[in-house]
Amino acid sequence: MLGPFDRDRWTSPLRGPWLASVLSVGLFVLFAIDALTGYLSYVAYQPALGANSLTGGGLDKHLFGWEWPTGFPWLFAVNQGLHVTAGVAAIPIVAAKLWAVMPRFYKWPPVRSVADVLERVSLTLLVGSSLFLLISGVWNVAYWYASFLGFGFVEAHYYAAYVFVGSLLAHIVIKLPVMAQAFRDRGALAPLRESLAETFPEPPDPNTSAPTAPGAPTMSRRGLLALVGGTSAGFAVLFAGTSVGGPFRSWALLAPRQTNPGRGPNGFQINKTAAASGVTSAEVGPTYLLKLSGARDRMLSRTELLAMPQHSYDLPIACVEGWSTTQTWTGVRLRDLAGLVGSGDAGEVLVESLQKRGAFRQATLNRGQLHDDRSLLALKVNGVDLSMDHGFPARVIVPALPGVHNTKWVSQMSFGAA
Amino acid sequence: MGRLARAYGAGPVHLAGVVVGLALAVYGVARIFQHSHVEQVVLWFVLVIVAHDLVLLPLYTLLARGALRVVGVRRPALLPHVVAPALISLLLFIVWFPLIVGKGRLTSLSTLPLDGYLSRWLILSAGLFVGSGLLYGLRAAREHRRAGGPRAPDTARQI
Repeated sequence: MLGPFDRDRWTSPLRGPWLASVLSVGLFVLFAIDALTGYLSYVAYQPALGANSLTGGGLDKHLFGWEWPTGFPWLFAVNQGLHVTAGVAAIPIVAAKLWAVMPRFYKWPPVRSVADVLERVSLTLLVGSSLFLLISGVWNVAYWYASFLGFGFVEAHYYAAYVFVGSLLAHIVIKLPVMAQAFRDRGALAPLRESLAETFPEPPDPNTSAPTAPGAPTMSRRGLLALVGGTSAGFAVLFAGTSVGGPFRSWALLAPRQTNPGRGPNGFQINKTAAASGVTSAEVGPTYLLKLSGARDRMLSRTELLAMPQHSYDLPIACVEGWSTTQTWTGVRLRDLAGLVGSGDAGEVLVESLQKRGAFRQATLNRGQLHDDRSLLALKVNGVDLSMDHGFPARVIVPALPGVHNTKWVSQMSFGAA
Repeated sequence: MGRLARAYGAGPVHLAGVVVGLALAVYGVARIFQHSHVEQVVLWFVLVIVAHDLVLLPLYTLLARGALRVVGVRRPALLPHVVAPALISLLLFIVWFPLIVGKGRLTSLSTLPLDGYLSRWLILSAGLFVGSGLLYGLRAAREHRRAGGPRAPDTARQI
């Protein structure tokens, strides 16, 4: 048999069902966190409202159309911090797992029955989708928007998640008996007690990843697992600082939001500058007027907004990319603005920006988000006027709302019945 | 073995899991095809498989054999201490390369500086090799004391 199809060439004595199973347990925990927080993130964008959906129509935008709450302001920050950190932490374990089962990818003959064919199909989809999700996710976080598949990141990441969850489900059903057998045969934890001198190959079997012609071990299984687990934890620490913020931000040595862009009250993280969004200072000068439409229409200058009752709250602004930052925002309650145009009982509001292009030049907020005490049209941050890059003259800030839905440079708010 | 098991090659639980799981996956694939060009997705899938099997696999097999020959024969216990930091450094590069090579749009979108990522990655990588080397030294010294001879810890047992 040629090259990789010759089982005798896969000599590592550590490979086998036990090692593959242990790696799978760790991977499953991280993948479960990622799937759960991923779909929750989809809910957080409230895809059933207005033009919020970035994935077109379809059943899923209604399936996940439940009302995203405002009760826990940190909810989206924690959700995304977990999502990206778990994804980054999964990468070393995925690499180890692929190494551990690699001989099985080259089994010969590749299929013996219909069951084999379906298993190979599900395995191909699982490896393909999990690598795609991890790589597209981290490269998106690293601001490299590779549009090599001819469609945007959100659709690609979202629909690949269906492929991933489906093929993972099939894989678990197929492999759970194999895992149970491995833990029964060798003990779930017993091999962790073996030093290098006590490290022996699992029984040779061409139907598992155990080697048929094992070489001498250069490290123990527990050594390998400590290495993989330690790398995974290290990868998590190297990212999580941008999610936790404060002094931990500088720990995220290779993550994008490793430093703050400036000092002072407006020196915190900017998702996208006014220049990058195509908003000019001429548009936000003394001629700026906010248009409110509800039961009636009204135009308000920034001076008139400042003359309304002002409220201050500490709220996080959290990006889908996993970083977040909490600031003190001051401004007018969204529901006071609704009352001003006779729509105090409005069920939703469409907020539009001076920004002319881009998916996030507008967002629709749900009833709870519109009526929460802490939902503001912020005019100031940390006691001073918003800077141009933070949305001057006015921006939305709502508890637990995805960062990009906290519309900057607000030009118009339309209160509707929903 | 039942009739199903004979014709299908596995039990009913296997079949149910595969059918439900693949149905969900097929929905995802169908939606991806709605948003993109089928040929492009298929082309990428094929290219990635070919690139791995015909380029990457031979390449890292050769590297592994080389490492085994250069380091492994005389000091097998040193091998993981060389390979592990190299792999971790490579993985860190793959994950954060858009920032490390300065390709990411971080500065144009958010004013944050891109310089510093390359040097931090190099310093981290150097730290990994040094840490790994120190750990090896520590182990070698401990084995040396225990065995009372110079051969340890490279006494990998032959099977």
